[in-house]
Amino acid sequence: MKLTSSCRGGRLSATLIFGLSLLVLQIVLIVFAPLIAPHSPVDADPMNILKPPSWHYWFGTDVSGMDILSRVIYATRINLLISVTAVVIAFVVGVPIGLLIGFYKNLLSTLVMRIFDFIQSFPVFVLGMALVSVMGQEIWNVAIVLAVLFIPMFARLIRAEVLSLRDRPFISAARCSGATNLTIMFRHILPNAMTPAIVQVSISIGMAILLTAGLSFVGAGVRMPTPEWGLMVANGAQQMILGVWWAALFPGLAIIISVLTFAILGDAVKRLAEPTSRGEQ
Amino acid sequence: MSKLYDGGGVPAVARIRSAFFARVLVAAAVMSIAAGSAPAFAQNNNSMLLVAGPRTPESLDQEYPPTEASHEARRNIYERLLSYEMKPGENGVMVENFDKLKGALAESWETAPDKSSITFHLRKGVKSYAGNTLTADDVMWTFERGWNLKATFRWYMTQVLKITDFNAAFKKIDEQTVKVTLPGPSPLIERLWVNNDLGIIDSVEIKKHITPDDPWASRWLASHSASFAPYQVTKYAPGQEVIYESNKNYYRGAPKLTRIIFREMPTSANRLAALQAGAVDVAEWLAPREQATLEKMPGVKVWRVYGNYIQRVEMNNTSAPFDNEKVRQALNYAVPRDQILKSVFYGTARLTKSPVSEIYPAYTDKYYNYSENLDKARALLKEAGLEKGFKTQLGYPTGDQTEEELAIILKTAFSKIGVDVELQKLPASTLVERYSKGTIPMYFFRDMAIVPDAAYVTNLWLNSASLINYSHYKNAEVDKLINDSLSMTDEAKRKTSMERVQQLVMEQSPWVFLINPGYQLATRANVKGYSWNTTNGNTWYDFSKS
Amino acid sequence: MILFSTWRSIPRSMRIVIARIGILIPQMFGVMFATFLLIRLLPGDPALLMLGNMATPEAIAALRERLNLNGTIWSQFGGYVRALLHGDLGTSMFTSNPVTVDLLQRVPATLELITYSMIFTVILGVGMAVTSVVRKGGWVDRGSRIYGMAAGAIPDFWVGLLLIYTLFHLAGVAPAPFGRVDSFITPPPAVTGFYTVDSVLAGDWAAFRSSVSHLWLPVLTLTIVNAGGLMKMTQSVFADIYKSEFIRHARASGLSERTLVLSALRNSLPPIITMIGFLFGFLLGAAVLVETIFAWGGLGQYAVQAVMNSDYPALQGFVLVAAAFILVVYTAVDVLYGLADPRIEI
Repeated sequence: MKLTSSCRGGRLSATLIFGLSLLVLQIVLIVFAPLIAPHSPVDADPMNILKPPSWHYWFGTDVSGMDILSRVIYATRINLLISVTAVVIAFVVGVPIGLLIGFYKNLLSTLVMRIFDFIQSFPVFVLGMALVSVMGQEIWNVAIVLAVLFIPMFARLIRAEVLSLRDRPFISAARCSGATNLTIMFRHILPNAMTPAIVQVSISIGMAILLTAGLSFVGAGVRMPTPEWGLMVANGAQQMILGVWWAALFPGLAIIISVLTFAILGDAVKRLAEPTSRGEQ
Repeated sequence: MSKLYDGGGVPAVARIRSAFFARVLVAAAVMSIAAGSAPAFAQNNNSMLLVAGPRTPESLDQEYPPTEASHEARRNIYERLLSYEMKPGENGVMVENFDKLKGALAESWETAPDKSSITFHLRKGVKSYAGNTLTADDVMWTFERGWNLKATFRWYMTQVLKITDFNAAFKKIDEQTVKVTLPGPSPLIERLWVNNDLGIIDSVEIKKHITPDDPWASRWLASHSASFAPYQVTKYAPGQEVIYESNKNYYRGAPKLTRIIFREMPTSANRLAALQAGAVDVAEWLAPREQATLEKMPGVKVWRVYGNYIQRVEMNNTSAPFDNEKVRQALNYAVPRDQILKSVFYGTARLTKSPVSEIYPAYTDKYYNYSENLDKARALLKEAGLEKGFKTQLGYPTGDQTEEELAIILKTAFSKIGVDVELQKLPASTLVERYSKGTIPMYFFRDMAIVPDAAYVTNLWLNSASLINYSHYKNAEVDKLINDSLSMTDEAKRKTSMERVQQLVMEQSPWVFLINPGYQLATRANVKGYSWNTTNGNTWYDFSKS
Repeated sequence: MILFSTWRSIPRSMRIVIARIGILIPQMFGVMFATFLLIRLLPGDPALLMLGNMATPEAIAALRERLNLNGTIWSQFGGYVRALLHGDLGTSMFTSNPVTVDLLQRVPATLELITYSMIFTVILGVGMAVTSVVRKGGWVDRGSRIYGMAAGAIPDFWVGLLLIYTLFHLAGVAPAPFGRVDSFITPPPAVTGFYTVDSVLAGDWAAFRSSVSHLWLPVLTLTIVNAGGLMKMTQSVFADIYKSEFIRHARASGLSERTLVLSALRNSLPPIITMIGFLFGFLLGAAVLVETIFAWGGLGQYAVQAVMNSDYPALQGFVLVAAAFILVVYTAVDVLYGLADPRIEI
């Protein structure tokens, strides 16, 4: 038994180390962007547009003459800020809601569940586009819209756990010993129910990055000249047919690396939380 | 052994069969792909033209608000009473000759010496696509429809010609003669009838589509055409394509191209690719950068005219700090115009030196004094008390790559004199709403006026009473000069007035003057006959393929 | 009690279907109302935009009247619902067509794209999953781990662009990325709306080749990005079943590997069906981006245009239809799940 788990532990390590180092890289880029980036990310230089990668511009320049490497670096801040904020808000709002609707089986809970059904039955992307158009294309609005889209997911996860936990003996025991509903929910159920939600956090951050990029790609996300990966891909896309491959390639790679980081981390958290998979003796 | 499954459902045998079938399908698909992926070439059919444009017309009805796409449609499916002679312009392209009017549906016309009435003698034997002959009834019905729908036609008649009473103004004299009488003289009494929106409808055909709740056939006319023009729309699928068929009865002779297929391809890069691949004959509205790549390519060519667009950044002259003339001038001195011409427009654009288009009569550039001079800009800001600079916003519409590039360049340029510009990329309708309500301080505006007359142009944009003077520029002397010019007929006096207007406007700079992007059309090398008119829409009648 | 026993007497499959459809209707109504509200909040006055140069106050008022933009929210919604009950989704301010006509014109394009993407996603995803479990440690297995990890991280719009760049611009094997057929090919007469099917029915091989050649890049894009998720999920479910008691017993009893694989697959169906259902709904949204890149002329492009132009009726129509579609798919999935898994009580 012990051998098996340390064997699996060995295989885990390689990917996990990879994921962690990517995370560290991104944190470094976020904190030290002004020191690392060779040029300003928002200064247009009309005399240097669409230059291919060279020693001076490692990733080349885009259609306004801005350095792509610098923009990719600074975009880490924007993309991660939006995504992490969105998921944190969704978590902080969704978990208590999930707790409440799982614990209380009344009309309100059903109503809330139906509302979540709506939100989730809309084509996510179009809903996101429409909401951002209504609220205005500020960074915070994009984060809020994403949070709204993610809240049902967290709430549902918690609710599922609460439903299975609420009839367990230890809860009845707590009730017998005089605990109030509130205490039961927050002190007894919540710590045990949180695991799937925590696992979901990492995956959701990845999804949020992709959604932000997608929204910006169609023009419903952040505005120019804010450095943001999806927006950069969109600008690069128009030049691609003219043979300019660098403007869209590098931001896309950045998206992949970033989302991958969170996927790996999420996977690791998941294995940590559920060390045995079903069906295995 | 019998089938093994847990509960009712699909037997294993069916599963195998479907997997096999799937494999066959995939193989077939791969083979077809390989066979069908060879580069495609436009059919070498010399009587048909395939056009890729950014948008299909929103409506075919002249009473619908005019847009670039609908202007082009109207140009081809409606014939007007008068038109201009053509003359060779720059680069050998045929352009309208504003000094020479000629009769179109009207074979001849008489204008009263005081320019307060005009009589049209209609050409005989003009037949529509449906085979009906033009009479004064068609003209009168068209006028009635326009007047009653209270849209485009009525705007021209009331705002430009100052007509107030339909029956007093429009009279049918006989089957071939119509007279229009104005309350007072108008210098535009002849020119106006060349206007793209004033085509004559085949009323006999239309009357078949009138219903009690739609007496003017507006529903039908939004998606069909019936007129005496060289083309008729035979298929109208908005957002996808429009098909024009030639009118064999056209009075000037049947068009050389019998069929025009107009496809909507919103992305300019796609239109470029289609043209390169030979899948279309004409690609409209390509970005300057894209045209530059076409220059080096065999088999395609780019037609250029300088045209009549005026692209500028308008400022809301009633809100601080843009209510201070010095601030507006300062911004004008901060623009790196040469860089813009080179890097964004690849030399296809020219600077605008006046609010009037340079090819229109009474244009003058002698009052243009701007150059890139950051010191002067800063000095002006200091005089205005804004030495530290200020924050503001610049709006531009989604879907316009060029304006976005311009916006970014301007943002960087203005930051050098301490002006911090926040870029606002907005859906077109939001942008329009904001600048109509005056809630956005700076915004791009690219427009042209289709009547080649300086008073008409300035009246639209600079007369304080004009509803589309979104910059709210107000100068009493300018207002008076414009209003007078619209009602006096002495051309020499009008010219002097207009020059004075241009002087005042250039001094007071309600706008940041930028460029005239010109008009360019990319076609395959075997396409001939491109001609230019003030609407910038293509006239398919003049085109041919060799 | 009588009601209960009557209910119980209806065959189980019917009960599942009726119960789910019963919930569907109020959900649809809720969607309609929510959509209507949301979209009225979109900024921008379409009447002003459309009038531009010709804007006089009376013209604006007349146009607003024509577009039914006056009145309170309630009266506008009332008018909307009344029209809806007559099958009228309003008129698009942008195309001037009835929205129903616009949608119907574009639905086949999107459906064709999604259907083929779905088919290949399932083939690739389930195929890879099954192979990697059955031949554990093989190169498919190892490749699948990397692919599973990476696929969820790749933005579909980026993949599409790269494919266009490499296969069209560099290699020239793919056609130019616009539309469903080459410009000079007339689409086949519409029977199903799927160009691939209709062209075969009409015997028009040129149209068939052209439509297939235009399909394969966008389908490839969607497949590459979405098969990974399906594969991972199938892997875990299938692996569990494959290792379970009854399969081991069957193997010991001497059944061929192939039969075992197929039966294990059969048993993994319920969660796979659910995932496929989600995927269908998800693809509808994902199609928005892919359609824009490939100028597909489907619902996705229509939706983007509608948002960008504040075209209320069009956006409402699209969201309604899309939400309805997704709800129907989820209902179907629930029903199929209930039918497939005899343990579900209804």
